[in-house]
Amino acid sequence: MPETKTAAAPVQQKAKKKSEFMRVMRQLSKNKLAMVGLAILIIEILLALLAPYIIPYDYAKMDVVNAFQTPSAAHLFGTDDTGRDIFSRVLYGGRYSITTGILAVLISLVPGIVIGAIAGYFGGQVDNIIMRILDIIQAIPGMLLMIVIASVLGPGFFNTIIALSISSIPGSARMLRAQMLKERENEYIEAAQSINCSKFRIIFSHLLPNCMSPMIVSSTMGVAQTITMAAGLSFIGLGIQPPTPEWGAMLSDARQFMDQAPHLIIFPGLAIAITVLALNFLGDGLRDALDPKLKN
Amino acid sequence: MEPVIRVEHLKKYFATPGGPLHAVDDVTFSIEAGKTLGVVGESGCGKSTLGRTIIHLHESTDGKIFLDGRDITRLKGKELRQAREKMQIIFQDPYSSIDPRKTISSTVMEPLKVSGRYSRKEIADKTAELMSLVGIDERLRLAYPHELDGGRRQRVGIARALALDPKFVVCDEPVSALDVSIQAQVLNLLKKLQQDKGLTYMFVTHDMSVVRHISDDICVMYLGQVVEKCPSKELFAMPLHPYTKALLSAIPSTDIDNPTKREILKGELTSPINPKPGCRFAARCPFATEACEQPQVQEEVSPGHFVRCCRIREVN
Amino acid sequence: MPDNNKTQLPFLDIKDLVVEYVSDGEIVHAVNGVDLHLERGKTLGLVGETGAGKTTIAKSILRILPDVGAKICGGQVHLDGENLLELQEVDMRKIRGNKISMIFQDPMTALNPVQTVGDQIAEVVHLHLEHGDHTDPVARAKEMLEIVGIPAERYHEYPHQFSGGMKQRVVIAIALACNPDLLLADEPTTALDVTIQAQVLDLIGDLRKKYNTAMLLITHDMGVVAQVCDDVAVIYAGTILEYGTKRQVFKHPTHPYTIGLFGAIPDMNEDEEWLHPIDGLPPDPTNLPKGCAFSPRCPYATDECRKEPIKIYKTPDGHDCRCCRMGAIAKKEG
Repeated sequence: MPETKTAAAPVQQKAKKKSEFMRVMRQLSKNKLAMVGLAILIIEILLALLAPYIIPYDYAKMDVVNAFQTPSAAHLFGTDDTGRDIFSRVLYGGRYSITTGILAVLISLVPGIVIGAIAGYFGGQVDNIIMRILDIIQAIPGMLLMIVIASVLGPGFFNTIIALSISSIPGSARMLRAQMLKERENEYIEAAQSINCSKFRIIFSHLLPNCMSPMIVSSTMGVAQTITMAAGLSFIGLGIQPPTPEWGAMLSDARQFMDQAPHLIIFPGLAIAITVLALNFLGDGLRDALDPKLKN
Repeated sequence: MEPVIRVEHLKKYFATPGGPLHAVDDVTFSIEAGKTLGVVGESGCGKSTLGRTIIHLHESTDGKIFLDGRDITRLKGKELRQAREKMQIIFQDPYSSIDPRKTISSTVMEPLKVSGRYSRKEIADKTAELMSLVGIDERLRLAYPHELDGGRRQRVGIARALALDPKFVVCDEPVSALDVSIQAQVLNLLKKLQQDKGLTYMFVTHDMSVVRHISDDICVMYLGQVVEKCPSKELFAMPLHPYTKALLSAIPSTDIDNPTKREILKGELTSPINPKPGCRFAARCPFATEACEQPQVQEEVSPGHFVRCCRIREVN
Repeated sequence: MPDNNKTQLPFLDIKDLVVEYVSDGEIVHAVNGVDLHLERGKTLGLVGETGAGKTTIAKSILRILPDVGAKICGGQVHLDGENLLELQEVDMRKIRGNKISMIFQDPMTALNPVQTVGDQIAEVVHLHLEHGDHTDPVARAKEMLEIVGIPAERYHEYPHQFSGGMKQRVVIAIALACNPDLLLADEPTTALDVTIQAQVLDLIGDLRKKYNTAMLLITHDMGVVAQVCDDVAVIYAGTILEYGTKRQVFKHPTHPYTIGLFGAIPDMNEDEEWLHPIDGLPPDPTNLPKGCAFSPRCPYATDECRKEPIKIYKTPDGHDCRCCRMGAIAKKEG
């Protein structure tokens, strides 16, 4: 370790905090797959940000004469049923799909973690009541729930994100609760009680860090699911409104032409798959880097 | 002199679907300053629950707990936190009793931080002092628990327990998970700390040779009740309760010339859920009669030697 | 006692067994040239601390080491004159459970929680039925339950309905169902309470006598060894340091590690203020010392001990001891 024995207390503290962060980053940087994932995500985000400047055609411009063109030099990914350039639409769509997917999952994590942590830590009646409420929410089909929320909030980008995140709260809450129930059996929780740690400290300083691994993995998977769910919303006119392109919506529009023009479905599908893969790589790497047991 | 810890008719029942589980049932004892009370018994006899109930990790069902003569049974909030600082616990499993995601020094300093009484500088100084006290190398400050062997982890647990200068420490099987050569190191450390700091121990274990070595007095527990309590030497020289006798004779001796004459008990521990009112050992006791179906009272057969058995005179 | 008439080898003969694990790119030297032998009906106690390689030896005999990461690098394991390490997997499968059985340390996890205990015993019997053998596995399973002291009516109960001691009896019943010639018992009583331990040790002893089974008992408890074994081997960092009959090792422990091990146990008959621990820690198995593995912790170690691997010396009473300073130590200890 870099610092010397005689370093003053605050310095030690800071050094520790910094070294903890550095340790995670160093671990992460050693993981090749995670780095590949990170690189893909960064490129995707850059492409999405710069989309207005690089797209060769207007994403909304129809050109019925040139409909269903297969990929060529003029149209890299071909054109769709109304002759719109798929390459431009995929690039531009990334702006919405990536943001929707990641933001919705991140937003749902916060209440999911809080609810799951409360249910898991306190157990008993509290747990019972919370779980029954979650049961009721989960008993409503996910799509229906989103439709209800989205129609209350109205269509639009942010409302879509809110609708998506609310419907994925029960899943993450449930998963965290299960993890908490298992983790709180460990003696270090009793040890924390015996040295007068508050409940808040026990939950957030001891239990949560030890429960996050499966949450990280399932969240990266959740992003893919959310992107396709968002498509469902736009399909029934409650999500992001056409002609704004969005990967999920492109997929569902293209379904009917799957036989004649598979490229309509291949490119947005690939975009989603690559994003999810990159997120999974990154998520796995992050989980390992956060676990001190997997050092070296 | 007022004993450091005194418990009177302490009871801890857990609610189970089958009825109340009598984990600790009517236990009375006291420990004087600087002494060690050994608590022995088989798994499920309630010895760990007893320790945890005294230091308020479980809420007691009935009875009283006194710390330095003060009734702390029903303390809440700030008063409870203050009392708890005086009573600490060292756990059995050095693997699960330390947060795997915290460095060694942050585990050791956590009690100091939580107490809110120390400045950052004091915390750092005290942490270093504690680590050298229990013999953990300064270099391991930023190591994680999984990088340490069981013996060192147990030292970390001891340092954490001693951080707030407790008077009373419950040692819950602190050496059971360790190899013999390391076990001796940790036992010596515990004994040295007791001498230097005047600590009072309650030493919970199932290992008779360990308890004989470290204890001044010994309680033998069976299904939540103390069946025999007396000074350590007397227990080994003159066990009176049939269960104690069986327990002592079951220990495999390393003396191959004088193998212990073993009385092998029939059966196993009966259920502590809704036990019958009589002697709980009666089902396995070779001396049991009808009289054993009555509730048993604890009797002082000689000064300081308590036995809970109505047939003690016939048995011995 | 039926004598081994195939060869001159003892019933179980392990020669120069070397086992390595690979973990994180580092080689863990788990077993480094172990020789052991055991006759029918006898018990050999293998004593050592966590990580000394005891369980690895047992698993090597049964050839159930994990496929990935573990490798038997050398040596021979002869059972009844047959080198087990050269057998095809198909033939090995006939030997496991039939000729050799293993009792694992933790009865709580050794049983399948969703199968009745009776069925678990019957399954083993069924798997090892020879052609033309009409033994009824269910009847045999019931018989085994009775033998280990569990009423046959409990055949249809599940493991969770049994206490720890009872579960270990079931494990023993499974291990002995096919009348094995060799029983590998890996800390069979460590998870049990003393009074139950006494019951289980007695049970194993009785059954072994009845069937003339040889047993390799792995333990860290010197008391259990004293009670059960005929011979004792003390293992440290994958090397046998001292090997002899129980009487030789217990009466005249010669290797400083064995002496230290006895010294570290609190004495039941004498009062001592301080225990005598062995200082330090077992060596890192990825980076073993060049000479004697115990030399870093040994109070008597000299440069001679650290130079090269120590060979086996004979003690005055004729047992094996891997210590080159044996004579000098004996003088010092008086």
